[in-house]
Amino acid sequence: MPEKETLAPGRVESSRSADTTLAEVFELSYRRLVVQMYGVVGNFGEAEDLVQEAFVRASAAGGRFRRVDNPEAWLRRTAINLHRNRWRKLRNFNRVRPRLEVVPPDLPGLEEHVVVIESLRKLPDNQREVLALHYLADLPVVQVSELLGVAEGTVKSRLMRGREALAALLSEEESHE
Amino acid sequence: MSDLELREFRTRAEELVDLPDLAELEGRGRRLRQRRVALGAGLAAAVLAVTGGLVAANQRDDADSTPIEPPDDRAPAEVVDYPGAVMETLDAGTYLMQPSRAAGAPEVLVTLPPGWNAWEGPNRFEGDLDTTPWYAGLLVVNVTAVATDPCDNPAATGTAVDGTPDDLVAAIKRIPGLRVTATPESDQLFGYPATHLQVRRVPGFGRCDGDFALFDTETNGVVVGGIDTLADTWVVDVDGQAFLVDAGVTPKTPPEIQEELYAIVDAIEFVDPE
Repeated sequence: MPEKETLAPGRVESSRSADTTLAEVFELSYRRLVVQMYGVVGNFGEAEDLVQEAFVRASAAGGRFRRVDNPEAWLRRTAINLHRNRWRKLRNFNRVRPRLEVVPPDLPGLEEHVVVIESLRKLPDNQREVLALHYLADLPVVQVSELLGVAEGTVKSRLMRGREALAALLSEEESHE
Repeated sequence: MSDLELREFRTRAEELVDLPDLAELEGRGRRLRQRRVALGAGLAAAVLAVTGGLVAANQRDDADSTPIEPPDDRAPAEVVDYPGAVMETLDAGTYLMQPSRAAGAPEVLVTLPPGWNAWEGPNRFEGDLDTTPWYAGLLVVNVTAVATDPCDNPAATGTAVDGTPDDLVAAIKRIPGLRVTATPESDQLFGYPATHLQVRRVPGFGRCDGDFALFDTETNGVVVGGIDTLADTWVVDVDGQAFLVDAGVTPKTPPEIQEELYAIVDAIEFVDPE
């Protein structure tokens, strides 16, 4: 699939020189990708695992990865695909989740903002995905649509519903504090 | 308000994420790459064997399945040719399946835990296949025709499919004895677009109330379905060519075997025949 992504001004380079190393991409993009995937999957450990596996695939791809115009987009797409490929694990998890009293461990030190990730976790998966990709990865609707393989209108409606639901959850949490 | 909080969350979280050891990730990448190179060497040997007239069209020769020896303890796992329906327990490891004989068609890497059996696709069951109380099996096939009569050979009386993903999805939905239990949904699997269907094979076909014919395939012959098998099925669109990945279990399949099957599906890789 073509790398169509253009990146948000001020956050990510839109292209790179041919001799950019994996180490430079790692330094620039690893943290951002982990946080984006944290938003997508709602589980910090899983997000780290997915992004690290994406870097493993990038390393294995060798010259093919070095020729990619936008390495962060390539890594994000790989991490998203890996996440989706773990279909059964997630399905099993969703099946038992109501019985679990524990929530996945969060990123240490994030206590001040933990309400955000807790609220994201309460959203339906498809709303959480688009919110994370739009607001945490700064992807416009058209690119979220391409990345997830759903229509732009679907992305827009999930964004609208997700935003409303998230706002309601956040204000509910704040009223409890 | 929520937009602002999301962005503040992002900024703070990015500050807190620790960088792992890139060298370790690169090492894993190298091993993955080596495994693919080893696979390429194995395929080259297979091509030479074919051009020498050593391999029959439908059977992989024993010489082809010689494991590739790893050069040292950091070498990748061996990739060996999947032996086909020989009904013997396989060693744990990574196997190369060829769902199509067409030139340039993708190959499939399947990684199995211990205890899986070599059949049309890897399977598990208890005791004898005819009397087992449970079954789990995986198929990766190139479907050429689907059954129109569950008791007839689809190769002779079935409906041919044209090899495109849309045609195959439509054909699967028409197979007698298969009940699609969830709306087909678009998915991304194995790095390719896919359509996911959940299907249950149901009884009620009078003169053939045991296993019944589902489809004919390019390299695996006619595939039959067991009664009451619940299957997750994907039609994978590999550059326009449809491949069927089918993971089926019966109601009494032990949960740990189901988990193994799902892990096998998770690890499937389509690879170019380089």
